[in-house]
Amino acid sequence: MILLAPAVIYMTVVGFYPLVYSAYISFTNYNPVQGREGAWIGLENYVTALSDGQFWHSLLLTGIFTVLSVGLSLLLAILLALLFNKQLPGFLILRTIVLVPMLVTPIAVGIIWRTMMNAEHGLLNFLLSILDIDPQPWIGSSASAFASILLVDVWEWTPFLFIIVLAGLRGLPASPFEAAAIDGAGAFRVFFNITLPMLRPVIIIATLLRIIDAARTYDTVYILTRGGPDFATDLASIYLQRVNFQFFNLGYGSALSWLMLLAILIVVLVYVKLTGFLRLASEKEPA
Amino acid sequence: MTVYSAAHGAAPSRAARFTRRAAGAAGAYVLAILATAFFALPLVWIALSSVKSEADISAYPPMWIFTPTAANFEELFGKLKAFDALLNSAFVVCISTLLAMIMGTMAAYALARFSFRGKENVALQVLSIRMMPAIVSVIPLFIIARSLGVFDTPWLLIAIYALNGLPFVVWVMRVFIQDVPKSIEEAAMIDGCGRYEVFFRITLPLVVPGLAAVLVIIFMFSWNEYLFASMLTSSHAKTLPVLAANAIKPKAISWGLSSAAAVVMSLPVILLVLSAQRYLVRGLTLGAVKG
Amino acid sequence: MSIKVKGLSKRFGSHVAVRSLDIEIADGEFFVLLGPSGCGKSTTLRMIAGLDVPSAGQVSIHGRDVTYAEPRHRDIAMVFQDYGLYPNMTVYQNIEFPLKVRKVPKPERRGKILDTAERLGIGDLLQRKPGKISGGQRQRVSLARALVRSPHVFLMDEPLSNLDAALRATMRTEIRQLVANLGITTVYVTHDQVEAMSMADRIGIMHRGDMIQVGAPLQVYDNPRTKFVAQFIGSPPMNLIPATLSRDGRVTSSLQPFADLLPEAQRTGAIDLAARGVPFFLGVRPEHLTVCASGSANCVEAEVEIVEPLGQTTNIHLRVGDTHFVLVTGRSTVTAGSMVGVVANPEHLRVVEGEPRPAA
Repeated sequence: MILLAPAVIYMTVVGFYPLVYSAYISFTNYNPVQGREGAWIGLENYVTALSDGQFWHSLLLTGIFTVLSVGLSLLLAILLALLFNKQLPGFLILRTIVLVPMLVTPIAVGIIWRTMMNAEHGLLNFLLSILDIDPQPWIGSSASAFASILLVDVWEWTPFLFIIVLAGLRGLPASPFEAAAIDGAGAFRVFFNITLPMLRPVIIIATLLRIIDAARTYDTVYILTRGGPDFATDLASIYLQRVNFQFFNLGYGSALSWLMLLAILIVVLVYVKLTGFLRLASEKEPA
Repeated sequence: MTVYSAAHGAAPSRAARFTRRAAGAAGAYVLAILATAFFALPLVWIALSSVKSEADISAYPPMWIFTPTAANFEELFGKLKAFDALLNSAFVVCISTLLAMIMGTMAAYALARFSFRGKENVALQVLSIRMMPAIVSVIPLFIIARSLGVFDTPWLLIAIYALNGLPFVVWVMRVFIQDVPKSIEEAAMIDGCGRYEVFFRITLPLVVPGLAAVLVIIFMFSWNEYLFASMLTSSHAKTLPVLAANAIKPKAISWGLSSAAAVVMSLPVILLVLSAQRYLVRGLTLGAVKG
Repeated sequence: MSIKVKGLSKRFGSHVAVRSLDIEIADGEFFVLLGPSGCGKSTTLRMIAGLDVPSAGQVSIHGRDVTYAEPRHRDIAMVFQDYGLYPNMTVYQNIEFPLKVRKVPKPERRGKILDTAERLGIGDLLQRKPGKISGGQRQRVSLARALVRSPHVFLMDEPLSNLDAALRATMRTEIRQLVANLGITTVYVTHDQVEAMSMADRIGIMHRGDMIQVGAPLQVYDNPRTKFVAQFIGSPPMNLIPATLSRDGRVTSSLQPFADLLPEAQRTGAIDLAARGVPFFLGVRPEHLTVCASGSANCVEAEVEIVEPLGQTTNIHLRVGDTHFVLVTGRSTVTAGSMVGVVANPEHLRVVEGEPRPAA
């Protein structure tokens, strides 16, 4: 009992109290810059939010961003895991290097890619020129900015999924694969009928973690584009930041952030339902 | 049996099987190197950029051969007082990590070993913290901090980072503790140890790999954190990520400076994690697979 | 399909797992590879299967060299120790898999699967997944999957070791009957000598990478070549008393009255071993010792240390000086601490080689 107490008390005080307070603020018109002292206005903020085009725009962008980023990095991660599952000499070092992007401070990641994506002297355009491709505006143009931040996010987080899938692969029993070799199954059949189904629990859990994190992406996008140009990369977290700490519309901003939380929760619930996540947690039966 | 004569022809030689394997391996190496290059190139590039002069950085085509200069780092640590930020980061992260580890491991033990009413509730509470977008709590914390007078002090960040790390510590350590057979603890109790003695002298030493893995991971997440740090600190308690982000803000971006900042910011974690690599894989996957 | 293995060896780095094996298995024979863990029996099986590539030597099946062929080209079926079932497929799909891969048409597939499932008594499990059935049932699914292709060679790697004792006994007989009815050449790996004895047409005993002795079960039982075989087969193990050759060609040992009863053929064997400088033992199985009247011919006076009444038989542990040995008989009234006279049956006295040496 005493063991549990510190953590629980701590979470309640430092964690839940601010949350409750935040909920309260969301029902007020608090805006220190405009001199509004926080009078109770009920659900007005939430109603305003519903017709806030900018908000919905940012939610939409965030949704697309999450799906694309997680999807692409999962694909890449699985391929990499299959590749690095072979224990060839030197692979350990290569694998270690591949891990590094997810360790780098996201702010630094933003700096790195901003440097490389610079339209005049960035490394990326130089590499393109070697391949005889025209230089791209990357984060400078609203048409390509979204793809650019997607690229960065995939670069940064594929290693995370990679290492988890790889560990999952390593943990699989050898005999079904040997049986398949004896039965004469080819590589594709083995992958789709045996490997993938056995990896399903691992992939589902790792993907959920990534979805929750991708929806909250902030640091890298902040450095790269600040949400622009022309709001092309205005993810929910960026928009919220603006409302709260540029315009100091804290009452409204709190309501928005609760709505964002609600959106994430809904996605998580749908995901859990679709993938039978909870059922996975209770049945762990290897053959 | 027709099976052999028709379908299979001549006996496959050792050479044939060997060549097939060699070709496969060669292909694997090519792909692996390409993949590694994709992930490593930006890192190499930023390291190079950090020792380039401002002129060299803006040069196009990009210069691979140049005279390295320490000017960026000098400016970083001199004019921008990066060392202070470094110390702030170190202080805040170390203490918050310690806090989270202690509270979290104790809680994990309680959850792993005891059954009581509301147990699953606690577990769920712990999990839900993870889903919060930081922005939800930043606002009230910002307000509370100002009124309490802890704004721009390390204590505020310590408190928050400890909270952020708690769920992960509890989640993963619970699994590690469950892996320790109850019979060992029961034997110790028969031998005369009380519950707390058992926890410290028997269980804890057996979960050291888990502790190491979890410690490194929450250290990393706290070190790399930006949102809370930027909102809740100013000149005194600024951490490294905040410092670096500020170098990008002004209209004329100082490429050299920001590169140097990126390097300084990322190096400690990279070194720490790589040295604890073995434990890390187990920690991450246990958290994902079994939790 | 006959199987022939010649000069087969396998090394992992500096560790030699299998050292130059020569075996010939006849068509339809049930051949058991027996030995303790680490002796190389599983590695040998895997080389026959094609899952491991030999470091040297040859494997031929039905006269065809398959040493470097992929497993799928060898027309073999294999049952693994942990069954190797595909966890995400139903029992039906598991059994179906080998047929599907070989592009057997669907109606034909269905017929074979139902047939095989019936034969193995798992007909009503077809829609379940491996995770939801018992160990014994998984075993049968594994067998069904192997048999559905009507293979000509059947390889089994300790298939019964994960089952409880009672189940093991029944499965032993079932597998034996199944395979005999179908006439499939089988190589069966186990560390359990009871399994080997009860199932094999011939046993190949391995130790530390070498094949020590090959022969029919009773043959190996009655005439173990080395100390290792003598003590590995049979329970309680054969009594082995150190012996030497005296200058005048007599076999001497601490139980001299027994040594004097050695048949001539055995004595010649001893002379031969002594000439090669190989240590040897006087061997006699516990069931070939009987109680005799003290003072009668070749009777040894021994002290009874422990008596273990097992119901049907009784193990009597005896001691003469520093020599300990065991006698097995039916019901007995002998008590611990008493002295008793023991005599050996000359027909079953053996000279057994000292160190495990590969068959010459």
